[in-house]
Amino acid sequence: MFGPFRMSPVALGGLLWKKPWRLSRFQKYRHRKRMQLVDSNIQALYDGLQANGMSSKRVEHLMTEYPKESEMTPRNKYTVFSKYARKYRKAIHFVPKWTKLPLRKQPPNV
Amino acid sequence: MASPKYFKVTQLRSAIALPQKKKDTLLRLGLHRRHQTVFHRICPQQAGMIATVKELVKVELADEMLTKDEMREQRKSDPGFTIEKAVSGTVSTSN
Repeated sequence: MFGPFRMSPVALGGLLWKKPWRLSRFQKYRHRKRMQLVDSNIQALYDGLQANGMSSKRVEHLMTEYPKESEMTPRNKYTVFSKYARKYRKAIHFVPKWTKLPLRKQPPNV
Repeated sequence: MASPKYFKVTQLRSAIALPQKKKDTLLRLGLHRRHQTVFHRICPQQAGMIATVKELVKVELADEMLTKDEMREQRKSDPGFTIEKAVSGTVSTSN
């Protein structure tokens, strides 16, 4: 039971991935909620500037170029480009700090 | 209706293990901890700074700037009674 040759999932089966290969539906739900909050933040920044007759290049860019959660395909929401992954896509939760990063822009031609 | 004058920014996520630029931006916005709220006058500079940390905060529009005490007062629940007359020495007026 103890010692260097104890039984463990790794010792028994060899390769063990502790991260599941895809997100659960609850993870996806929370991910969508976080994305929607970011969308509402951008909208608030834009509305606030508009109401006061101001504009910001950066906020304009986020408003027009940055993809919204409602406009994105599930593939783009839950996976990211990876040059090492099969079919060049891996699940988004393999990116470190994925819940706090903007991972919406897709590379061209992919 | 008068246009809103302030961004009400509430930090929801911590900046631990994020790039120094994001940590510094939060500090420059006056945010030190989660669920802290600050008000900033609407201008492109502030909007750009808030956009840098848009994943970590919640942005709302506000007409006026509230102090910490005023926000606390707003969060208070209705006690269900009103004090019409306080006998001196029994009820402290500061509460």
